Amino acid sequence: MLGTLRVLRKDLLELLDGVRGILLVLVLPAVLLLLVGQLRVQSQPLQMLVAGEATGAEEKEFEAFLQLLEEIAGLEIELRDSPVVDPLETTRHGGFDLLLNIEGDTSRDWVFYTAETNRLRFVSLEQFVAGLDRALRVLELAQGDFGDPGTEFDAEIELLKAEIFALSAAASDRLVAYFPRAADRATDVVVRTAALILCFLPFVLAAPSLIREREAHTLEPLLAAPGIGPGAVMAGKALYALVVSLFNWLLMLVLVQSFYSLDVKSGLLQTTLFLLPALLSSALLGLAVSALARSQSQVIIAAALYFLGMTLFSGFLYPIEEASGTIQALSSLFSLTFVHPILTAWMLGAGAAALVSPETAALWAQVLVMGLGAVLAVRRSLRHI
Amino acid sequence: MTAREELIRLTDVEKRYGRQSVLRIERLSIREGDRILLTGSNGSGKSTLLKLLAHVAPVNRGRIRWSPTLTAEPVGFVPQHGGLYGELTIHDNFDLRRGLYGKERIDAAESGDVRALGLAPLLDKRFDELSGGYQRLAAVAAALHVDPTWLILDEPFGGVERPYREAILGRLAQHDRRLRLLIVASPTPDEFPEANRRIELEAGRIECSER
Repeated sequence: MLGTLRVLRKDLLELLDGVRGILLVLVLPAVLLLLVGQLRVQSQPLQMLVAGEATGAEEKEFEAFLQLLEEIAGLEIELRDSPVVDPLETTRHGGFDLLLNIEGDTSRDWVFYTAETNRLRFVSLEQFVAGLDRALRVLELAQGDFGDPGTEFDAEIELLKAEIFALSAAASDRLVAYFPRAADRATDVVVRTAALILCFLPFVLAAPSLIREREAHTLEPLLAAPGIGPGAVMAGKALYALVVSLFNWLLMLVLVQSFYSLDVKSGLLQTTLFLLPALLSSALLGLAVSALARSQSQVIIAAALYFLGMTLFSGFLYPIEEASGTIQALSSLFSLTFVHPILTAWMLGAGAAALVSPETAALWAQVLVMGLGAVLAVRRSLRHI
Repeated sequence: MTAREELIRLTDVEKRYGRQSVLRIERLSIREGDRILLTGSNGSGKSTLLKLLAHVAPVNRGRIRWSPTLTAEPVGFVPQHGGLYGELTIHDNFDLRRGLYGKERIDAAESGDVRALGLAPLLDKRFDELSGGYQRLAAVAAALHVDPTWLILDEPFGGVERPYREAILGRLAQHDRRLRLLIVASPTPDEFPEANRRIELEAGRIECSER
């Protein structure tokens, strides 16, 4: 244990010794996060096409509802007199995020289509569609299909108001602060990037650590020091990646609160505990790579490949729910697959990470697999000293 | 005359890199007070043997037994190349080394080793800014900086000018009283005249071991 702490202390001192190290590891990720937040500040409002006309009892309510959406959700709505015959084509190629096709006389015959071309926008759409679906239910209740308007009707109206309110851009209300994704889609990018940095940073810190020592022939004096064996070197270096990444996590929380009004909510400790296995598995994978690599340039290539794999197959860029079984299995190897949704739920919603859940189990399984891989790789590497 | 304590014993040891066997030693006993010159041509296995003795590398076969009184004490180890962190100053490297050994910092500028080896004006320079000769001297000084009771030096004189070779030998003599064991590897047999024992390796095997 003492040996592990000495290795940790040595690596931290090495990092903090020069301005360059501090800049690279502690400041640049934070700056990156701030810049990423600027990516979508001028994002266009969602485009919606309403094709066809509501008739009868629904007409008045529906018009009022659309007006409400335009005003408080910043939605741009285009109206057409008749339903479109090729709704998916119209949505995809007409530049619409959402299409409401009124294909019959009652709201039961109305169909929603979403573009699904841009996941970032689609995230907001999901919320939006949920609100719209509920609006239709209210309309149906108002029409009397499900009986007389009454208690059920009032309850639905209240729920609808709450959902519409969550979509509101008015930043003054507490409810909106809990659901800023609807108010400002840019924050979604920030949270996703924070998750990406958190999952990549431990790998980046751990991956060069052993090979660098080997190339500089500092590993031999390190292993000659009392109480420092291969296990202490490995544990110390994994701990180093963990400590620096956790520091970054706290720094990022301060930044997103200061610059993007994403308040630190209750459940911080729980979420941080959830993150621990994710950071650890990334660090252990980095150590395994470090032990297997023969030069620092090989480590750089491995880091680039890991970054690509992580962004492509973890649901970060493209949704993986509809991917093949192979891709879904592959995604379970990346900690980002589990961190991104949980972090989004906590930072943009109000859901704290559950410490006993399939996601946590998957992350600890990753730790086991990566840990075993790292132990075998380090043992193999030390045989070649 | 009392028998000196056996500090390290190697029995039927083999070290391989991949499938290639680079060192095979049937039996070797190293005792208290040994001042060993380990010599042999390039690739004869000197560095490999030193790493095994310093408990830095594992064996593939056989057994090495260290006296518990020896492993409880700090070893100073100088690898064949480098050995210090390139981005750090010599001063910081020395502090770091003492930290790894669990020892409190001492001002390197006050160290007799640092002054004698001509490193005092270079303490604030980064290790990778030094010439090859000074890098060797700094590596030796770092090993001495942890107050070792046994010392293993792999070609400490490589690239070092004659006056500084004398200085290294002078510092080793200065520390001699404290050192239970000193092993110096060198390709040339006359570089460590204070040795009381010479082990010659050839193609990974001990050719001769004489006192």
